[in-house]
Amino acid sequence: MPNLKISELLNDATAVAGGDKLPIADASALTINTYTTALEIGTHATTAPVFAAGTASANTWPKFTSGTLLTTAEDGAIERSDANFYGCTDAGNRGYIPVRHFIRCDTAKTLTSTVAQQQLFDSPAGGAITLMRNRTYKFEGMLYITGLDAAAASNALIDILGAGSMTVGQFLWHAIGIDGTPTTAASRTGSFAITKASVASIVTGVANGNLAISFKGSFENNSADDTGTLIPSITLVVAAAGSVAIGSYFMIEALGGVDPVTSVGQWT
Amino acid sequence: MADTKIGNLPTDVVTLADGDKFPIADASSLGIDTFATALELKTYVNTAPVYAAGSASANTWPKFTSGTLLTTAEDGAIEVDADCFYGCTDAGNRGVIPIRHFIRADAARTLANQTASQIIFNSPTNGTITLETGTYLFEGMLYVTGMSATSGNFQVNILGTGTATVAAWLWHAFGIDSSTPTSANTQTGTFAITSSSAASVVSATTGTAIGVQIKGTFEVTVAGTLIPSLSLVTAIATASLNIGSYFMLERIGSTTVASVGQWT
Repeated sequence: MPNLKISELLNDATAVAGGDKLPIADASALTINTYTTALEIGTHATTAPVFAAGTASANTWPKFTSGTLLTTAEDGAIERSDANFYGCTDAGNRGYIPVRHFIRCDTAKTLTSTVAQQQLFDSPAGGAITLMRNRTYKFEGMLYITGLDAAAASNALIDILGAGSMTVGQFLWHAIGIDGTPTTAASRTGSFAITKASVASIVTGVANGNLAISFKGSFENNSADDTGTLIPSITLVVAAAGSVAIGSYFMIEALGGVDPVTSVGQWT
Repeated sequence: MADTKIGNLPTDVVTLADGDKFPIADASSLGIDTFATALELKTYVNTAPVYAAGSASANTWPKFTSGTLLTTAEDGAIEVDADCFYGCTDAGNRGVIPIRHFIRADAARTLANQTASQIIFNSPTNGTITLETGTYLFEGMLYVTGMSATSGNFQVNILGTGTATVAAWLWHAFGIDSSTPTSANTQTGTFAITSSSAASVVSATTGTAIGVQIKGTFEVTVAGTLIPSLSLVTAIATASLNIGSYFMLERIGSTTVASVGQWT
């Protein structure tokens, strides 16, 4: 390569090609008669890269730009659609990488003594999450509530949407648990739901002040925009100042984006 | 920029700016009057990158450096703090990307003939995991055959004799104590707010087998080990942990985490 002056470089290549040559001064000898190709720079940059720590400021962390998924999933590829990240460790068999949102009680939460619907979580205060429309979501959770009315053979209704503004559909979920002394082995009861709300009582009612349930299911967010909220809530059958125990949680992740989502992976 | 020949460039810029220019010989025409900017090179490198395979040697695989999470989560960003990886496919709504640790029985394992607590898994030998502080989500499934016909099954202790200091337990176990858990039957079980379930973990019967699912969360407030263990209600030499039994856990945040995502 001629020993040109910088000022003699007039044209911007704009798009770099793998074979483009760049003069380099070799690190050890500082010789000037060597070059490297853009491809070689790319190989150097992608060998054991260490991505620098980002900060709280915008555009400081690595990002994937959403695009069109490969027609045939490639081993080792990480892809990004509008809805999800995907990974593949089995050529052709792409899977989604869960991105999980959750809320939990890090301290016990005292319920309001009312039979009106009320939110389950309050940290942050509203116990509400905003989710993107036109996505299918999988959710799960666990609730352990003490201090309910001990005389009535009933417990509560759980409403996944609560007073949230989201337009939801295609609910299918299952709750299993116990109205009794949850730490003592006993029969589980429960219910399935195909709407946002369970029956009341969500598990078979017993005259006991404790309720513990596990639940899991999925639904679609068919909202007209991306501002819809979900507020997991409870409606007590009998008013009582119950307490939602530490560790109680609700977790949610998108399964896919464009309705309908029926599968991810090498299903045929 | 001084109008200097390439051989007379004595100064390292150290930090590249997007607009810094590199002289290049164009691949197609071998033209020598062309340049590319650092940003153009960056775009080239970050377009469909293929990260080289690492090896067993240190510093050979791609890594993220932990830092401060974005004030406002950005669509497509991957972030890492001291606890978790995070992803965002919904501007503003960051989520945890699970990094799961597990142990499972790849071969049936005969349990010790004792009522004292014993490790559930032994591959690797100690059935022990070392955990940093944080809040963890866990799940598992256990299937044990050859148990005593005396009414009772076992107590599960998630911490076992591990050294970690663990708090804020909430977990649920449910399953079937029956000689044939593979047959449809009533599910029983327990919730626990300590490291140990009741003994028996599901309602005791004289059945000689048990299938149980477990799931819950806990906080490790002082780092240490966790050794999932069980204590047979009645000792017997034939109790055998079935292939496929597993225990899995993932960290979801710090010991004080209350939410991740666009909760308000």
